[in-house]
Amino acid sequence: MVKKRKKKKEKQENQNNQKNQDNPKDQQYSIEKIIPKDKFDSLIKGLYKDFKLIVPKEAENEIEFDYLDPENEKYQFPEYQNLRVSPKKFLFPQKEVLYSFEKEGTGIKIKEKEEKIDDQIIFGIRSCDARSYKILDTFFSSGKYSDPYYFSKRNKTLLIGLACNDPMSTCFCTSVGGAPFSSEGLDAILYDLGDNYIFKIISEKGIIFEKYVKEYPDVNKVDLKKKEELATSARGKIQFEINLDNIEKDLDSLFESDIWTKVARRCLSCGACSYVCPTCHCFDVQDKSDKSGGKRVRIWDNCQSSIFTLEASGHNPRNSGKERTRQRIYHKFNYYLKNYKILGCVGCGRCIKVCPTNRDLRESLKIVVETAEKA
Amino acid sequence: MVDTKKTEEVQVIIPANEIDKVSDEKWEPKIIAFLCNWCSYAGADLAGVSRIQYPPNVRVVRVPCSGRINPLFILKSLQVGWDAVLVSGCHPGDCHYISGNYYARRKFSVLDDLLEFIGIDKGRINFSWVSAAEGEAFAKVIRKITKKTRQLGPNTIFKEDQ
Amino acid sequence: MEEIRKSLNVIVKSLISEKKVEYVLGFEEGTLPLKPVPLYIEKEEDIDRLIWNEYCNLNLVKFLLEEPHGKKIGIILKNCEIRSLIVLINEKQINREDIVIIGVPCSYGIIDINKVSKLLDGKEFTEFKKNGNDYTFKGVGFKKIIKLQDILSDSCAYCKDKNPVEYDYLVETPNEFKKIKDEDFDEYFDVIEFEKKTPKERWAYFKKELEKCTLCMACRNACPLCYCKLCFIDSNQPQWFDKTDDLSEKMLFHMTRAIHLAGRCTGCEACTRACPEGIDIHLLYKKLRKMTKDRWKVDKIELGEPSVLGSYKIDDPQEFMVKED
Repeated sequence: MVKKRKKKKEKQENQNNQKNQDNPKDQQYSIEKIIPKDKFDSLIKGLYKDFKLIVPKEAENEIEFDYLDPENEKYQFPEYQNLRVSPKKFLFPQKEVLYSFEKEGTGIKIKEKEEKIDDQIIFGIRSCDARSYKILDTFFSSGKYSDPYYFSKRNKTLLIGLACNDPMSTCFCTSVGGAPFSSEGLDAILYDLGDNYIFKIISEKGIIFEKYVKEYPDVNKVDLKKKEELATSARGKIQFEINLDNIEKDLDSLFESDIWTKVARRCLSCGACSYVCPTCHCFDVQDKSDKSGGKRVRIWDNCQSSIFTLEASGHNPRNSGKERTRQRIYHKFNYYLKNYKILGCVGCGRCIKVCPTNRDLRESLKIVVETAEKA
Repeated sequence: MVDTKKTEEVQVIIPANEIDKVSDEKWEPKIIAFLCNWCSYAGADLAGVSRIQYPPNVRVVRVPCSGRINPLFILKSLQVGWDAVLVSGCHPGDCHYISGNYYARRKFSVLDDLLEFIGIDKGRINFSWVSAAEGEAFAKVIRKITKKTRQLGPNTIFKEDQ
Repeated sequence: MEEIRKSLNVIVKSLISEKKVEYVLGFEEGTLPLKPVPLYIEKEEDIDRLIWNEYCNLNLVKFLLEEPHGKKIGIILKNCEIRSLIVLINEKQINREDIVIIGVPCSYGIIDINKVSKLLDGKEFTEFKKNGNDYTFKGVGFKKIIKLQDILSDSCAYCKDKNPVEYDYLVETPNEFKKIKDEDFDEYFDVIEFEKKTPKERWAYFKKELEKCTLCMACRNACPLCYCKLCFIDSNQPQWFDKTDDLSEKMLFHMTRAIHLAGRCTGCEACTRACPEGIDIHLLYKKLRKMTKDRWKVDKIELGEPSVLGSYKIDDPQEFMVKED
């Protein structure tokens, strides 16, 4: 059985590599340019000629990712730390019509989803969110088939990051293998040095950006040094660190532990954490129809809801908040490692911010690690 | 509009496919009427056997008592596209189950006020008392509601601008 | 606040040490500012963590619903929360004898964290300081002073019902809190103002607010009065609701939930504060409270009274009925 599983995994990995050729594989391209902030607008305009741009924009009372129209608006990055809502929805929307059908005479005509997808860039994405796409890529390409709805958009999307100078108080990316200045999963990255940006191309796909930044001067040593300093200071601003090297094993031994009653005691079983999470990807499929036709819709689902696992017989294997809370942590920190050899959490801290009862994932992890150490 | 699966729990008197006959070019209001078994349904029956004419826009669902009506039925009817809803029961004091219609009256007034509060046209939802002896009164109520619904136009409730 | 906490300490300590209850439910400081968490005080040493202030934003009654009948529990509550407990007692969900209510008169009300983050444009604050009615919020690269009345929950701002009506222990508050300002304002002032708007404007408001809804159900799950074992939303047969995120689905959910709370909602606003999207539909629930008062002269929920929709009067108003003429 074990062997079989291994084989399957290898196969999966091969498939993943075939599908996601944007995986950087630690290749580094030595294109690093300096872009003064006052020239930033022209860079945006240049990119807009060939790509649709999704950028952090000022919305009502907060900053949100949205499509940019640089012809009518002058764009500068607004000041933002990390956004409340992750950019997951641009590749995996909350509601997605898979196909629709219509009555035609006496028969029925099925219409495939017709979607014109332009090349697009998610611009100014943070390192944690970029890593979340890697996790989503893995999930949606796992198994025998890859998800065409996700990859139709994913394959046309490039990611340009903006390194995180001021992580939030809830950030813990360094504990789950990331870093505020990490370029993992990105095609190019910007480092904010105050007056200038460093524009660095990371992936093979990112080479396409070379022509847009050709005119700018190469980076010099002083700037690189400044960047390193900023990276260290950003890392230092992260207030929480936990060693999760043994988390898979730790959790294996704690499935029946009574810590889960304690952890889940104040959970309201709402889906707020799942919906803001950049890596939560569970979905449900619903059919909607009326007299003239109908559609099949894919919608977000969340494991904290009691009907998530409700079976047709009426039995519910995860009947209480305790089991559902445990599931969320196990899925991200145990099953993911077992299935895909990666952690399912990027440490963006959104679930901590959004939880109405302040159920802090960091605290839960701390309890897990401490209990496992004691045992 | 009627999804046979969705309505299989209640007895639908008019076959669902007949609703399709109302063509889209010339819009006709479609009204769903929940009638209590003991009074209003019998009243509608009386209107029928007495050959009293009333607009054919109404589809009747027979329910045991107006107190059986959950406000959710009414909201759901509007959401799936019925242009208006009528709930009709026994006159106060006449309820077969003694007090069902009194409870219903309180629920309806909450729903009525609430829909008005969020800015939805008054007139999409209607409540009336019709007894088993009031065939003519039933016809009058249907005429009045059909006329009102015709003025309001097709139902876009909860969807776009009201 | 400090004096309230001291008297709470005494009461809780006696309850725990005399083993009158299995635990006392209160609040402790959470990991983030303005986000306290429920505290289960089972041992005397837990009492030190107890806090009581204007940002204890959850309705703790919700956490009683899971407990079996017969288990003695102490709970620290404000009046709106006591009234929601009364609803549950009236509806036979909780036995009055099981619960030891420690009532605390409410001073000004509760801070709505959604309002704070709106005023700070969604920026993170890591520190806040209180100075009289001024609250100073500090985060990376900014510092902002906000007046208490701007971040108070809407229902609290117009609340006139701040002294506990049902309790086993009452916390004596310092004089400044005893006299709650009794200026001449209508409790339902904001609803009356809203009703003056045209239907179009009213619809536009609710549409704008509810379009933000992601159907995460935080409002339902934070509300102590939403205790159905199977919510109509989760029902599969019949499936009332398909969660496809259409505006009409969101409307159906919120309208039906509102109707389920008619005559029951006590205006604690735990739902509004729990909303991760900051949707403000407190007016909907406040309208329900006003409606029960206007229509049936039932102002506040009292112990032992029948529920509004579970009772009737023969001469209830019925002007909305279709007349035959």
